[in-house]
Amino acid sequence: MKKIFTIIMMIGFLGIAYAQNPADLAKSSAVQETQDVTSEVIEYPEETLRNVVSEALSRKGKALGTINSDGSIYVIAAATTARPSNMPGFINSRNVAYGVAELTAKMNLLRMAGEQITSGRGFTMLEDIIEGEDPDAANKASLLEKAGRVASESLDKALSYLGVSDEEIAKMNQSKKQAVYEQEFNQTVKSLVAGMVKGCSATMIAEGDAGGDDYQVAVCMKYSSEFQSLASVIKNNEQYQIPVGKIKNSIDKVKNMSEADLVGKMGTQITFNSNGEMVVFGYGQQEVRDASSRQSAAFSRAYSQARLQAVNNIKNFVAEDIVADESLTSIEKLKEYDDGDQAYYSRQKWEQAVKSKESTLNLATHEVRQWRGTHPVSGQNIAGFVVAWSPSNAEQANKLKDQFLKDGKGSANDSIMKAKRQQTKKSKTTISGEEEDL
Amino acid sequence: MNKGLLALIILLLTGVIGFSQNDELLKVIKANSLLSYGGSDLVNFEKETYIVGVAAVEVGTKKISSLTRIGKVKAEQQVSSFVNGSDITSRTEYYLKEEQTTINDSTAVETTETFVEYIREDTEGFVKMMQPAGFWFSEDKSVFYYALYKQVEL
Repeated sequence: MKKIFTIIMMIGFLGIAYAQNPADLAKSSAVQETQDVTSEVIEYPEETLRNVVSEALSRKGKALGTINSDGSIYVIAAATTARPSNMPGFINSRNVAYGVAELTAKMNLLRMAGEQITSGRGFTMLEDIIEGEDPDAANKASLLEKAGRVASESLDKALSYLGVSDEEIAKMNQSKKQAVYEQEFNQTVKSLVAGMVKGCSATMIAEGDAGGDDYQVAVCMKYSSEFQSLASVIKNNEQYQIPVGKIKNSIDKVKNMSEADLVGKMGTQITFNSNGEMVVFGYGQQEVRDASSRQSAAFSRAYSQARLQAVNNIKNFVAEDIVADESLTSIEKLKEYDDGDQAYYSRQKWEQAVKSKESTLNLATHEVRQWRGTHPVSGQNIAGFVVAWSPSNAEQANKLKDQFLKDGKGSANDSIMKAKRQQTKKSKTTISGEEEDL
Repeated sequence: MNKGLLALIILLLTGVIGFSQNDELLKVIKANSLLSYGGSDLVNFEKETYIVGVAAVEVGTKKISSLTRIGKVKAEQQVSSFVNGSDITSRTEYYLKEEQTTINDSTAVETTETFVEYIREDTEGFVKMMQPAGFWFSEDKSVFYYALYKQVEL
């Protein structure tokens, strides 16, 4: 019996040892998973967009961030949403991030024409080593100094009585230490750029979540002389003679585009219609929160907001008066005291302000499409709107305006207003009031 | 007597035809993806071109008389915006600050980001002789749609 038990125990030990064979353990999925972990370098959407655009432009003999031979300029800028993609309010935050990226890109574009730089810097160093005591510094204590000391010590006792700790009282009484070495450095750099940006439109947009509540929106903006002429035509709303280009059925393309593709469209897009005319598309999106009741009313409001954003995007393409300033202040202080203590202080302040001045523009746009979809990452409902401006539609709107004005002339109401006023007729004189009251 | 009866029948028939034509146009408007939620566009119907304006009004506690009145004004505004364009006024402000302070071994970073966007739309124009095409409600009865139309020659 004892032998059998010993054999069973040995077989058991062998089994456990075999099961824990390090070679087999290394092959297990759990260990393999940990071994596969490498320091991951996350590529942000801005970097991806930069690579894609650079590659595409190089094929055309163009480059990013420079004035190309055809006069076009491409700039890329990015911004991160303040709201994570898995929280309500993300879509609006994404719109804001796009707005910030677009403004930053326009600021970078203006910088290429020159920026005003103001800067200043300086440092001070001090070494103050004192050995012994200055005999002339020893003075007889005045009455006020003595009274002050009495008051101070009495107040310390009162504070101690009230429960203030000795450390705190000692901290209060701590005098400014004499520094034996001091070093201070400060630097200020300011950049100011201002100008009117006309005819600048988005060509490519990249966005995505890098994990850790980090959703970035990057945009590539293009400026060209053709875009500038188009912007001038829209602004003046007359003489619709703009460069004719490749024939594309862009209106139908947008009308038939899937909602998943439309989610990625923001700002403006310039393309050509079936007549080869330049068309400006304005895209707008608005978040629609899930409601237990009156959901269609929420959608209706969201469509109106999305339309307004879309029209405003076309307005921003036509002209934006931008003022951007940026400043960087750096201060560093180091002090060494006679007791060997050191104090270090550093402050780095960076500020950036971009302002697009208030302006008004009359725009006759036409609606291309309104759509509803869900964001692929957040799954939130989106109400979208697409408007467009094209020379033929602007001309059509002007014709309609003339027709309405023509129809209005000589109408019934106008004839009443314009009819010659007749003189009044004689009437009876009426007297009110009682004789008794006289 | 016979003439009077005939005139009455003709009058009634004209009304019925007119009403059914209106009804057909309303169906076309409702089927138009751009107009079904409000807006303005040109619609081709029975070889004619019409300019149509549709208003979306939140029902709330409003009575049908109020809804119709508001709907008419809003639909006219849509047509006016389509014909005369609209004045878009906007401004944008963006401010970003990052401040890093280090005192001995402790570092504090403070970031402030502000974005303000203001958009305003004003429409001013002349819209006349628009005819009502009809009205309908959204599926959950929370939005009232009112449509106006006018035949145009382009």
